[in-house]
Amino acid sequence: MTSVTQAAVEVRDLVKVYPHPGGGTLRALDGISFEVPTGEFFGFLGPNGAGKTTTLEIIEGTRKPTSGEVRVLGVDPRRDLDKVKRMIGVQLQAASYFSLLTITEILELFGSFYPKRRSPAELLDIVGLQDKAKAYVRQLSGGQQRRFSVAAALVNDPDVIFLDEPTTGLDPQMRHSLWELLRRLNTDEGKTIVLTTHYMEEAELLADRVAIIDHGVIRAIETPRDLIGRLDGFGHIEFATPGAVETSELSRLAGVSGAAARSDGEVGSLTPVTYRLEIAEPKTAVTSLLNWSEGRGVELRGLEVVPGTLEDVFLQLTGRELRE
Amino acid sequence: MTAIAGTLRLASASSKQLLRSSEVWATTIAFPGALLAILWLFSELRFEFGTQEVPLIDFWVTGLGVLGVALGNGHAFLANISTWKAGGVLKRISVTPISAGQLIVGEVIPRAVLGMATIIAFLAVGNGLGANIQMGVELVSVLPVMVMVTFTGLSVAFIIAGVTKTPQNANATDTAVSWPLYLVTGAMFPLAAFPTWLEQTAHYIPYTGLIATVRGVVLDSRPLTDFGPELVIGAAWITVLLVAATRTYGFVK
Repeated sequence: MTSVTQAAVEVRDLVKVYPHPGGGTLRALDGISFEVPTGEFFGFLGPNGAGKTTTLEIIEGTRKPTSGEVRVLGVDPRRDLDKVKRMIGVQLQAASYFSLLTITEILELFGSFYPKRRSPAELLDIVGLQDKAKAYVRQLSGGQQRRFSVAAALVNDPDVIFLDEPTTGLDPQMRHSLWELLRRLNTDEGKTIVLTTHYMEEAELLADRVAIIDHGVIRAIETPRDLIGRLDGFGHIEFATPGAVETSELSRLAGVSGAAARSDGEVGSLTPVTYRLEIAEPKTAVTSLLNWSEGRGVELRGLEVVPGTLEDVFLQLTGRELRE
Repeated sequence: MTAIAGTLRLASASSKQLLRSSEVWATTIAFPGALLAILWLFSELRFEFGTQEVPLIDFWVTGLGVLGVALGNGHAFLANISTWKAGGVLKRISVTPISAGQLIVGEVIPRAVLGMATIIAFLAVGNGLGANIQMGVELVSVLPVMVMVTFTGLSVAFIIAGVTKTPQNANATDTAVSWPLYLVTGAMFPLAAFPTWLEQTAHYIPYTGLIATVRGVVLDSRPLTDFGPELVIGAAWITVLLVAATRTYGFVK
């Protein structure tokens, strides 16, 4: 991270209220405040509908806030939106490009909108798409399209880059490759990056600081290490059983603060049922689980005590999981 | 300077896409060609209303030529821009310094040129099929009117794309708006044959005066100055429609 001189992004008491489709209103942002220093890699971690995209859209000037203040490099988007747009690069969660222009032509076109610009060849080189210069967007793979989106966000050599869930839907290899690219932009080129994600490992690996947002409220803003440090170094216990057991029974075990059953295969892919126990007191929890298993004759497969992650922090702060 | 350059680059990129699109064949050759072939079948028929008698092919080539090409062009364009809106192209442009107005102008310039060229070709081929159209100085003098007709169609397309949520809704709305225009703007039937109240109302419909102007100049060799009120109404509509287009197809939510 470069030295802190000026805030790249300042948000104060930001509120956004939408009319609710079924009547009434929905408070998408409920008075959030945060500051991103120049050169920082800032992560917004939260589930779908938490308010991440709304926050970015207000900062980028494409959505009006109900109330609150926003500054991008000292400029208010509501007063001088053009100036803000010239200073920022944006990669949208769901955007597409002109289907009958090659990616080089699209970068040339987008570059022509700005007084300061980088050449398409240089941009394609940065994102590793030099050999696709004459391809149309539809001819690129999913990962290449995301890389191209990042290239398009860099056409004006922006000081601040906003990335809205840039790796959602990508396979692990493509995701890692894009992470490398983003890390280089931050460390080698000194770009301030604001990234939203619902992948905790993405926030943990890339971000200097992470804001945990849920239901339009920021629950915490700290470095990933400090956030995880809140858990005293322990996170949860995972295991599978041959048959289903009552989670209420597990959650009553000493040292356990909560229990959940999972069958989505994401926790070790053990079948038929995988359990996750949130632990308040690790040693006590493991002992009581083993005693319970022996007493009930339930075989515990793949028992694992998993160190705390941002997902555990999220659960602790919001009472729900990121994937809910 | 950058704003103008950006708009011109958009116009240039739009032209490039237009030339690569199969849609251009449909709107400039297939649809007008099919229309002309149908009109040719009626080339011996004549309209009689009051004491006047007009060859049907003259009336329809000028009326349907102007309106059909404008609406066909607008319809194809609408499919494009409503897909941009639904697919996220518009959203991506909205985070650049390009304004909705610049995007509209950048897209309308090549389309207007294409529309104008199509109308001229339509009139020329119509002439070859038996219509009695003045293809000399009269045609040149109505070129700005053809641009106005095309601008009107494209502005309406932007408005429909702006107020509808999906390309399907946009298509349905456009069809609902377009069909009555063939009947009430004087494109197919003489206004003099309408009931008085409809005739008077029809004069204030965006295309009516422009069609009457093109027809009066290229069929009857009348000067453009004879059509002051028609052109003023047409220009007023273009102003209103362009302003409405930039508001409805705007970027900030």
